[in-house]
Amino acid sequence: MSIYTEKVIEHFKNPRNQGKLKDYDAVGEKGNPVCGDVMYIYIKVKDDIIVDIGWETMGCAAAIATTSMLSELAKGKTLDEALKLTREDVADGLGGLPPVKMHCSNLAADALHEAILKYREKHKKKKSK
Amino acid sequence: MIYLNNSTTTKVDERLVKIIEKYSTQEYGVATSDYSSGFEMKSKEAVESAKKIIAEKISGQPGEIFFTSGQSESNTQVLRGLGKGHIITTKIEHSSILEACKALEKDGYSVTYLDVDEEGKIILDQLKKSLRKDTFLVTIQHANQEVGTIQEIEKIGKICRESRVLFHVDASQSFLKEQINVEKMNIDLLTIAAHLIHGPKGVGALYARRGILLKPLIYGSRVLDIPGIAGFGEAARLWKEEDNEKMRKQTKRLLREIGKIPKTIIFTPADSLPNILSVGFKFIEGEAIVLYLDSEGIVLSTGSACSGKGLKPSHVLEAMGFGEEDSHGSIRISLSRYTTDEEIDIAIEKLKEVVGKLREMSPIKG
Repeated sequence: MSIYTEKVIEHFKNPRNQGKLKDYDAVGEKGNPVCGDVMYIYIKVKDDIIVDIGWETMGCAAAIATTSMLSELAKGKTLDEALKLTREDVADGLGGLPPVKMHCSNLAADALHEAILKYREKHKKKKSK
Repeated sequence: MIYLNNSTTTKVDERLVKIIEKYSTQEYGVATSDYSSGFEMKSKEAVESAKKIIAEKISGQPGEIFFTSGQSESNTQVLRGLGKGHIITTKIEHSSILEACKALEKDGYSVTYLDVDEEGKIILDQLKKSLRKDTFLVTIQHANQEVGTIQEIEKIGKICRESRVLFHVDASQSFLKEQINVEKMNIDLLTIAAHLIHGPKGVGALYARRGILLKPLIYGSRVLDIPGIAGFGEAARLWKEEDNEKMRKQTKRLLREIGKIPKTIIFTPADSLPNILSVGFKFIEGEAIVLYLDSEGIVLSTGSACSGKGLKPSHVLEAMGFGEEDSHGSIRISLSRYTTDEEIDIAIEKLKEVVGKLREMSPIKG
């Protein structure tokens, strides 16, 4: 028995929405190379909805699969809905993660939240101008 | 399935099956009685014959070979079975040595863990300086389980003999792959494991020079694994120098091809074991490489922290001076007598493929 569910392996081998977006509105970055996991999440927003999402991840199979899963969950959601996505939602979507991987490799939701906050920050500035 | 994890275990040689079966279902004595007319003698002869074969391979005497359940028991027997005081070992030993040393420290022993250089070799001067009046044992592996580095055993043996300190060598990885001569190398105790030479699992040996008294780990008359021991002896007998030559060529080919992949670190130094190659790929993670290859039917291992339960990086690479960023992308490829050239070709092709894919996904491009 693998420590990973079939769904984790499937997302790892066939990642969804992988790649940097050419024309993105904001990027969220989490992790560091010493820990072995780094995630960049790029979002394209229109009318407060995430119309496109892309990502780059360095890390173990769980890190890659969780970023892939999160991108599926977040695409098409409003920013408010996307901010409510948690690490647990990502893990549940994959049919569970080994406990040891819950924290170090499951940073995608955090990276997305950072991207959304950055986007709103930028947007606020534009509005106030 | 392409198995390239032969430093963890190996496939049992099919020629051993008949022997193991014979001593399981026909000659199933336990080799304890001296008086038996024939039945018990058969199993006793099997044990004696295995001792003789193994002793010859290391230039020892059959009476100096004792059978154990494997590497960990042989190592623990040495560490737990001798006097008390100070022990010298290295930072890159097998877990059975390092964990036993940690336990002994709690029991009042003191232990020096020698550093290694970037090739994984100990510094002889540091060994000499570490010797104390109460040092009773130096225990140093012959070859390393992760990177394949071979220590200068003969020189270390000389230092120990001159200082009248017992010298134990864990030769689990090197037995039959490198020359071992317990006389010339001044080795007093030596650990061997059967399952790394296409022998059965759960069987090992300890060579102990005549005159060395070891306090037993297990009391009472012990039932030996006679089928396993008979298989062990036969596995040792069947090993040929050509096996090493074949593996050495294949390892060189792997090194040549993998060396062409950009931003690759070669951890294994020149003149290492014939069958191990440890390399690292920057900006990607070893567990992902191993899992990807596993799903393609290729089995190998990684020194990445992300693969262990404790999330700790390889203690060997760490001791060699490589940081976590380097050990994250590390893999170990280890070959056996049965590894074919076609398997090597497929492994190279798949490895290039996965490294390319993972680097494509990585935000860090160097």
